Amino acid sequence: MIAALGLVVGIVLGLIFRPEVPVGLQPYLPIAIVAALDAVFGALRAYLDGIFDDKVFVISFLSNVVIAAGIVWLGDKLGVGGQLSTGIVVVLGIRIFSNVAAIRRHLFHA
Amino acid sequence: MSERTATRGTATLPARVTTPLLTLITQQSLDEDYETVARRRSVVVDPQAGTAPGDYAHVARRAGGVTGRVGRTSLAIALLFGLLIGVAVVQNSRNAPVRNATREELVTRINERHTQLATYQSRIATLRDDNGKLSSSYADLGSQLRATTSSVNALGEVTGFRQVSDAGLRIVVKDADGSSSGEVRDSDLNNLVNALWQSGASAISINGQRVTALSQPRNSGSVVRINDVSLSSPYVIHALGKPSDLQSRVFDTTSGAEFLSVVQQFGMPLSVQNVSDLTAPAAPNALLSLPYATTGDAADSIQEEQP
Repeated sequence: MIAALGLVVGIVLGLIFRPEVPVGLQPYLPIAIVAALDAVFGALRAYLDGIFDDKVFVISFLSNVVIAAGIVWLGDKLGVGGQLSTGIVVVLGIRIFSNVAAIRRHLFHA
Repeated sequence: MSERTATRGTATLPARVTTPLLTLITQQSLDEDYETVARRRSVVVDPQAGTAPGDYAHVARRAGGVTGRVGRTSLAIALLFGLLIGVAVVQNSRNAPVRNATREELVTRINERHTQLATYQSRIATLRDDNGKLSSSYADLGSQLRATTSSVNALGEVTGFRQVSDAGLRIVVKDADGSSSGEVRDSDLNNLVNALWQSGASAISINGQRVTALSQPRNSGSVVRINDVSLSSPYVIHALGKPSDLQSRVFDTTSGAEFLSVVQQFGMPLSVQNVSDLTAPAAPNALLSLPYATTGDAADSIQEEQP
């Protein structure tokens, strides 16, 4: 509950202050969000499984974001940025879907 | 043979190598770290606990709520995640109009340029047509100009407004010495000129003054004037034409005979020479403007018709 509150407060802060993202970082923002989304759903599932751990969540979140953005950055340097970001979105998308399926089973027992 | 190899392969290789990629991703969708940490805790709390996946939950719960607690760092991460989403949304909505506008603007610009190009091309075609017409009319005008120029030259030779050179007769007549009645008068020169015209002269000049249809030797007092220029004795007359014809005919005409009788009566010195190369200069252009007639246009004639 308190985490959801944090999320909402974060969104509101972002919408209010409208910070300017440097042009160089702009292409990596969407992929970082997809990676973060994976970490968040994983954490939610772990929470419902009863094995949530603060430190693991923080580390998985930060490493997901950094690695996803880093891979895309490297891909951009090699000229395959588009393909690599597609690959990341596919893998993370599958993970998100299966995590959400597990969460659903927990919540609705179905 | 192949079945045996496959069996041996599955027996020796670990499961995560043989599992298809998509299945592996689906199976390991939850970070393994959560399970690892939970297993480590459960081992610490209860070494006899089962190790099968999914058992950690109740083990963890049995451990007394050590896990499943959301700490401050998680809150900070949630805040960061929210901030990330907010920033992305803002950035995207900020960029969207720019992208769309740019595209629409480009399309509009392309269309404008296409229209402009079509206009220019049709203009090129029109101008090319005009060019063709104008150059053909220029050629027409050029040939017209040549025809007009040659006719002007021909007319100039006939009317006396163009210098001509040809063989001819040079006649020199002087005032007789003594009385003033022995001076050459306009009527004498008129007689001579008329006689020369009758004998077939093509051009006549007196003391370098061309005789035209508008110029006539006239006395102003005792001085003979032609083309508004005063002449004085001796009078040198150039008559261009066939010299033999001119010489044989000029004094046979009535006015020629009259001139000759006056010359003989008063004893004026007269000499007539055949010259192979004579020049008659052009008459002054002042004579070209007619003193009584002016060029009119259509409006003038209409006004005259409707008084």
